[in-house]
Amino acid sequence: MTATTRRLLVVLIITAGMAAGLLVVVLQLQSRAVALEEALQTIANQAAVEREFAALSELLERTSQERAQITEYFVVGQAGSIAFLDQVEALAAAEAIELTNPRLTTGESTSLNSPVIQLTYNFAGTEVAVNRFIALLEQVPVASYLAALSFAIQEPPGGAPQVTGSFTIHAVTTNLDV
Amino acid sequence: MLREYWQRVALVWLLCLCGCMVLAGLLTAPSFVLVQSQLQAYQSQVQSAAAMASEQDALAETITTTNEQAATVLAAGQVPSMTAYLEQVRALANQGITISRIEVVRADTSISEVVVSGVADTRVSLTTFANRIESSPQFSEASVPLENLAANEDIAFTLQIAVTPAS
Repeated sequence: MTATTRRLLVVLIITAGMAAGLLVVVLQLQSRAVALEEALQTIANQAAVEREFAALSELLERTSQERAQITEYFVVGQAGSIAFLDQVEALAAAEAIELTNPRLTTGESTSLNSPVIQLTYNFAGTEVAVNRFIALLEQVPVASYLAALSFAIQEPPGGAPQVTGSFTIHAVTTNLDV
Repeated sequence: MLREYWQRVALVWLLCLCGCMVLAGLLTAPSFVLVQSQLQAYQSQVQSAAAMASEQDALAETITTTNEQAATVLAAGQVPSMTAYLEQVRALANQGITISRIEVVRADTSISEVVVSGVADTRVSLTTFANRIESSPQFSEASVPLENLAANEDIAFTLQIAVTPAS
């Protein structure tokens, strides 16, 4: 290997190193330039973001009562499920309806696109009371609906018609794990 | 000799290239410093804007959730009531019909069928009841099983009443 060849090799290695270094510097510069451009864009948009933020905050503050009211229509967590059961049982007691064999499961309502608790009871009472109870059950201030209802009517001689049957009510729920 | 000549030519070119790269590096340096310093200068402003944007996303999420909840409450409020169908079936039961069992069948949120069992005094009472139901706008069909018409008196029947789908 001649001296010129050695020099050529050394210079070649140095050139390659410098090329790599320059490439790294250019790429770094490019990425920082992009970051700077985004930063400038963000700062330019900040006024609009601040306006929107203020509008959203104001909207949330103005609708806090309504939002709280909407939440009341949902059965929230296990405590809410228990409260809903109590509500149904209190309604039945007020109408002198006997509720037995409660079953509580969870499911999903595809139409409402929401998880629901599914509460099933057997019931017994006079026909008039049952009619009133069913009507009241459909009006409880909870996002719910009667999912199944079947009953038999018996007319004892000389007495008021008696009704026995079962119903399933679905109530929209949130945060079941709570 | 010729090889030596070309090696020297390549050497000179490589040195020129190195010089160019050094020059390019030197020319890039001010831009690099400027961009870097500007990035640092704007950093706090950008961070505050990003924090606000993130908080704004949280507010928007709250509003979206509320809208979804409101839509669910509205949809639940529009689920057809069973009471209306029960009352209608009872109202349509003519004289001579004794209802002993009712079952309301719901398919998801819409009511699909009402099954009514009972006793009819005569065939005419039963067919009249079925016709009255069929003529009601709430119901589309009330089929009387043929075997229910075999007897002429005290006919135990089960009517499967199809509900008119809500438009």
